[in-house]
Amino acid sequence: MLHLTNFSKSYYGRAVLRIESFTFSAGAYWVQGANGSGKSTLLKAIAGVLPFTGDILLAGQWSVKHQAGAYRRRVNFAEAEPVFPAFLTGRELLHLFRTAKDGPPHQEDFYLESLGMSAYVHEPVGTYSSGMLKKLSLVLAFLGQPTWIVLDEPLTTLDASAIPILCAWLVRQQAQQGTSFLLSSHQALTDELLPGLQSVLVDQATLRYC
Amino acid sequence: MTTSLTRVLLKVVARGFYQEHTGWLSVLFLLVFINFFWTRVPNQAHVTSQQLLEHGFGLVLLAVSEPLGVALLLGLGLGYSLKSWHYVAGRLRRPDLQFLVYSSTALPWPQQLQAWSLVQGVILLPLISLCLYAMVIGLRFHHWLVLLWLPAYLLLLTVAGAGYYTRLLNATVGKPDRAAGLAWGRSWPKPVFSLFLYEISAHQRLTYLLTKLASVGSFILLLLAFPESRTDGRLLGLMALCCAVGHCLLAFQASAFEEAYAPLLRNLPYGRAQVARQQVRLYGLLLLPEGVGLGLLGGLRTGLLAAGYLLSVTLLLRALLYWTGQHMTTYLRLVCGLFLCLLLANLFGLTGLLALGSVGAAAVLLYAYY
Repeated sequence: MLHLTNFSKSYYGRAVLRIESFTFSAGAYWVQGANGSGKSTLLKAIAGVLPFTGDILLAGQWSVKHQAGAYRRRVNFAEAEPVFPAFLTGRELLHLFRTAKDGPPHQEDFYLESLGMSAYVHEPVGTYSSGMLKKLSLVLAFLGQPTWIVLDEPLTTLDASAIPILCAWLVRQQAQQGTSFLLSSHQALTDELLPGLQSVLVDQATLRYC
Repeated sequence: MTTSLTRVLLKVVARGFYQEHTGWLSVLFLLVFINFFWTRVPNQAHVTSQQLLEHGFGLVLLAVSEPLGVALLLGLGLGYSLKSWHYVAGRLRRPDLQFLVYSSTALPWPQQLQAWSLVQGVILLPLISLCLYAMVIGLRFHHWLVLLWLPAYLLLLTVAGAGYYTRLLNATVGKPDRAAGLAWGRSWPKPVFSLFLYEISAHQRLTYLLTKLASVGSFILLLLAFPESRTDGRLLGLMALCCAVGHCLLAFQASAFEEAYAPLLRNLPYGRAQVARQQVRLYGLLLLPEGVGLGLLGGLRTGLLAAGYLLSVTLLLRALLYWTGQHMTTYLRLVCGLFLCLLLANLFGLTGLLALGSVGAAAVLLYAYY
């Protein structure tokens, strides 16, 4: 369970989000909203990479502000447009994320094989296309034993064959480890691809169930 | 557990620190370290070997025995550390390191601190080697306390730096929720040529301040050295040359800024001639204080000529980067070579010709490599 309390975020004095109280129970959520409505802001705040006013509590005990380490071990994140230092290899980033998130050895192998990334993962990320970078950032978000995985626009720049594979990972992760998800996407997420997906809408600077 | 984090941090932070500060460290090494290691005795025939040793190690002995020397050594260490903290803090704000916020911070605090301590230790290596040398010489001359306070001081600097970086990364979400960017300049016009000026206001303030201090310093030193030649065109040319070379770091940062936003800037419908005009406007504004200073010193004709020379050499220093790319070592070698050539030519009073030659060379480089 993720609980937002007295949450607010402003840019240049303009309130983008103001959420008095909102709870995400365990499950998978599709965060919808128009461009500029504050979806990415919300997801970045939940991932603990953006300053905001208020607090976010995981499972009623880990605050993103006060128990940041424990919180971040349980909440993984993939950016909409991932950027990494060009000279690091994919393998180095995988190793870093797996150890930081306390994942078992070779945890990434399954993901790399299913997306066909093994051939280039040892290359510096500066040689990757935007789609390859996106796939890498998605694999990084699955490492460790996350309670929640937050994916900002996971489908953009992915090739058509990768989308069902990603959805299969989500279903598998939820079934095997009980992980919950927050996804934002402008592309329709059908019930066939992701069964049991609940929708929430970011609109007029607040959040509500559709 | 921290090996992978250390490896990544060494690559993205420590390596970057040395790449970006090659010039600065070289100057520090030449000016301070070499004299610190051994001070040459001019007439060695008239001194005993013990006197020779004591004189040769004079500076290092001063740094481990006398209060003023100790204060200078500690000050040097603190200055070096502050510079490294400033660099790393700036680096951690860059978009390509945001992944550290949601990866490395999942590690327990002691492990993060351990990894950052190793990285800070690597960054402090020049300082550590200097202090090790001071400890060896101090011991040789029976200054036993140096074994206590120097390692403790280095440890303090290392751990303080590591703690600062760890706190910066972990406190991301706890920072005050305030507007980022230049609130004062939001409604100001921002033509393309001025973008780097806004970048300076936002992120390069320290570099700008140091550059301008270097300009003021060169003005004062040269005027003190040649008090009778204040209106001599050659002296004004030399001042202009020193100021232009002092701006090479800002020129390098301008090039890095253009590289970072290349997809945006290169996509704009500007030809080379327009780019050249934009650079004249940018560096004209950037060098305005020095230009005014030269005008006040040399009068309308000589002062304007020197200001034109200053602008043309700076444009050439910027255009060199189209040729070399972002390679600091190569760039600094070229800047040093160019400085020496222009310095010699300036002695013959060829300021006008040099100004024309420099702007011509800048134009050729821009047309050939942009």
